[in-house]
Amino acid sequence: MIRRITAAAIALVMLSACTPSKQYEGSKSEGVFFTVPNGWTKVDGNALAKEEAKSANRNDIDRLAMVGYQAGFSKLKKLTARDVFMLQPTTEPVLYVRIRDLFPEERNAISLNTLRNIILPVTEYADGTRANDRNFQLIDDQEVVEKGGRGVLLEYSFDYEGTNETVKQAALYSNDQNKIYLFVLRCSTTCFNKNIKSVDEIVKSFTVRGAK
Amino acid sequence: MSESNSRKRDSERRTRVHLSLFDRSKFLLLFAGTYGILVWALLSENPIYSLQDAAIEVANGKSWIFWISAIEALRQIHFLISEFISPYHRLWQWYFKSIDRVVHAFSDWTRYRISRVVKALIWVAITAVILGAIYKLPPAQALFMAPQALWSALPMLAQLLFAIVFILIQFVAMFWFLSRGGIDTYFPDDINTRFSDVWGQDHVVERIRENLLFLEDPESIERHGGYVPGGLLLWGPPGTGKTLMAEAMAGETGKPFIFVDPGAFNNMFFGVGVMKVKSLFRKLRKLSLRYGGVVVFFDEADALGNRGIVTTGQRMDADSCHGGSYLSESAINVLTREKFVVGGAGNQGGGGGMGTLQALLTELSGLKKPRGFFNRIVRRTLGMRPKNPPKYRILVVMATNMPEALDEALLRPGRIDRMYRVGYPSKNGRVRTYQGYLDKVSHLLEQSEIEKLAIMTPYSTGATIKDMINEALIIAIRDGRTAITWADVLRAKQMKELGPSEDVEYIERERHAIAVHEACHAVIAHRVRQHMNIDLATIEKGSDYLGMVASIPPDDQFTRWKSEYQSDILVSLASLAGERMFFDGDNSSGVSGDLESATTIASLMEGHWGMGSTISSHASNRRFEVGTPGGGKGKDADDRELRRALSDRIEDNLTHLLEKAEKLLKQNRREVLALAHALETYKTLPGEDVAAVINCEKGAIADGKPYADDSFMKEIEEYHKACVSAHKAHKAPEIPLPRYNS
Repeated sequence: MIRRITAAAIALVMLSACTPSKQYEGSKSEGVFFTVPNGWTKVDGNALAKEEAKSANRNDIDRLAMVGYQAGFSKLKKLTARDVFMLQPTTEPVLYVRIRDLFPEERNAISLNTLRNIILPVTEYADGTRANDRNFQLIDDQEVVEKGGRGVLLEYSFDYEGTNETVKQAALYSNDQNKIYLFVLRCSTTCFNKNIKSVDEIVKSFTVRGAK
Repeated sequence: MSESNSRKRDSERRTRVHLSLFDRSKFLLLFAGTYGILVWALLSENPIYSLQDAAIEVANGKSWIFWISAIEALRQIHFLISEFISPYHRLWQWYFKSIDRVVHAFSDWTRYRISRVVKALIWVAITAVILGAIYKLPPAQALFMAPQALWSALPMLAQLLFAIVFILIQFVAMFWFLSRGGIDTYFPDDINTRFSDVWGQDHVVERIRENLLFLEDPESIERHGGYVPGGLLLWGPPGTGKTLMAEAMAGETGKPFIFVDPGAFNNMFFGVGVMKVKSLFRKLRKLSLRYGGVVVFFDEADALGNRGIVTTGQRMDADSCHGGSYLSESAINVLTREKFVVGGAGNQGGGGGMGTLQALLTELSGLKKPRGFFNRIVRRTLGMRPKNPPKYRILVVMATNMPEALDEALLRPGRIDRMYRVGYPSKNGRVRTYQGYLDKVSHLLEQSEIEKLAIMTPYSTGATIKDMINEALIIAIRDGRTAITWADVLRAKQMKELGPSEDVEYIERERHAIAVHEACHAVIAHRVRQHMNIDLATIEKGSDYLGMVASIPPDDQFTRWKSEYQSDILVSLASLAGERMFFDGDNSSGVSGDLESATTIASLMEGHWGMGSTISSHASNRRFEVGTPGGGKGKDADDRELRRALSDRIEDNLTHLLEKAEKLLKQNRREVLALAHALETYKTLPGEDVAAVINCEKGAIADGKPYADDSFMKEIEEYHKACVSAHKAHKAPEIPLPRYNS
């Protein structure tokens, strides 16, 4: 009996001393879950909102009010909200996740192409209607269907101020077309290739269950 | 079994008792189960968690579970060591004892207060933790959010309360309205009646006055270690002034007086009676504190305090001759007592049943519990001792004419401390009462007449006296006078006692038969009965009699004797003996009531009063179901003779007395016929005139002297014979009623 109690006590103590294999992030209320590797720096929604509020663009301000969840993560030790919003290639991966409600006009206009073109005009680059002045390259484009919504998962690279950057972009809209879920994981292509394992794990962990 | 095999006391053990495996591990299992549930909850809430990571996450996030598990594990280790190592166990025992000593150095009250504070702090801590979880703040900080939480919850609480109140208010309002009424409050000087208005009950009034004195000055008895009598019962026949006494109490006392109607606690719904009782006593306590005392009077208390029903007796046969009215009051009482039927304990008798009586009993002498919202709730909430209830000076007075119908528990000392019989007023009391009522009207009565009236109406009460004087006044006014005369009083008395005559004219032969019947009663009564005087004799038909001989006792007497009952029976049997004697062995059905009276008295003499040939009481024999009385010890008669059936002995006794009555009537044949003639002539004769006729003297109405004349008596005898012949032939007598021509 003493052995059993001792073993249980030790097991409990050891368990409480451990940490999970990765950081589990997301929003329970929005029904979105994902993981990032342990040790990644996080910029929370308040800081991002504050940064976004600096924008003079009226549309940006309006959209900010519709945001349900947003957060930025990076392997960088020092990460600012501005770093999250900028497209400047980084030496370590930067993840930006945002969930927001759609405006009525956006709901009517939503399509997979709209989702593809959230950051760059991917479809225009792809069908050649726009001159490929950025050395844009679409590496992967697939449709994804989650329990809480559907959308696209893209991987593309382009030159930004002389440095090639790779972006892994997942964008989904909810089944009722009321919300948009955006995951953007980016860094310089060199960095991307170096951290491909972590990137794959993060992308694989994206789960959209939908708001309850 | 030897003592050494007995289970050891805790103080005798050197080590702790071994725990079972379940007892040792149950809390750890519970915590492990809780942990598993938490992990499962996290896995179901976040689908990307691996089991391992979820287990780690819960272990990190809910570390408290490990802390309490660790404490439980330590406790079990402590127990385990105590189970095996005696010095360790003893050390802890010593330690706990020393703690106990320290703790018990405080008084129970202080420890109680400390425990209240500790409990309160625990609740505060729990609230803090819950609020912390809600507001995602540290518990200590979250506690400051409590007022805000309460404030934000107020609308919901208000809605909830409104719903509850809305539902409750309907019942509360209904019961509130139902619990109103039946209770009247009089304040000092509201009532003008005083004890001086209560006549003829001086002894009771004196005792009540004593109760009121103690109510006014309770310290006078309490400082000597006694207590103020809290309840008194006034019982006695109707109309003897119980309610008047209560009214006088209300007038005399300087305290509020609550009058409770007999029907105050009757109700349709269960619980309303109880509510009324509680509400009444709440009011009494309040008034008692405010005014230093209060008197509550329950009129007709049998309505609220009975658990059985006493039904009224059957009335006497309507067509019998006297309706038993020639018997003394006590004889009538025993006759009617035999006819009473006592109902079962239905608990439905009064007060609506349904716990009302029990509520009343509890309120009268229940637990002296602390009362008042502040006292019971607020003081206790603050950990203070509730104040002892003050001494409520409540004098409970009950009045009833059916004390036997009251619950025994109601009458015990502590609830009803004193019981006073408000009986029929004494002669002096009656004189005082007559004077009192006569003073209110104009009359021509002498003092001697008033005293005579008091003697003539031995069982009259304040109510009947008042009624009779009023009746006499009505008679006087209808005769065109304003002052009451002696004759008015006599007519009123006859009217009240016998009811109005029906103005029925008998056919001659029946009139004669009834006159002979009543004359037999009257002559025997005159000859053998000394404890009663004839009040009047009549052959005028009343509502429930054909004729009657009414008697009154000459003085207040409280015991009755065998010889008196025998004379009662002789008077009863005189009708049968007389009818048979005067009508050649024939007799009418009019003797039925007489025989019933005679048989009942003879039965009671034989079986109850020890006035027969046996000793044992038939009442007891019947109760114990041992058959009719046997015995007859101390008598010379043959045992077998004495052990005959009770009914045989009664019959023999009656036969013996019937023979005696016949003998007496034979000796008084002349008087009987003379009185029958006088009754046929005058219809109604007062007692004095009955005696005058029998004694051949001049009376107030009838002149008895002619009956001393043999020739006139011969005429009467002839008339009687003619009536007997007419009776046999069912025709009118050939000779008219003789008239004396001087």
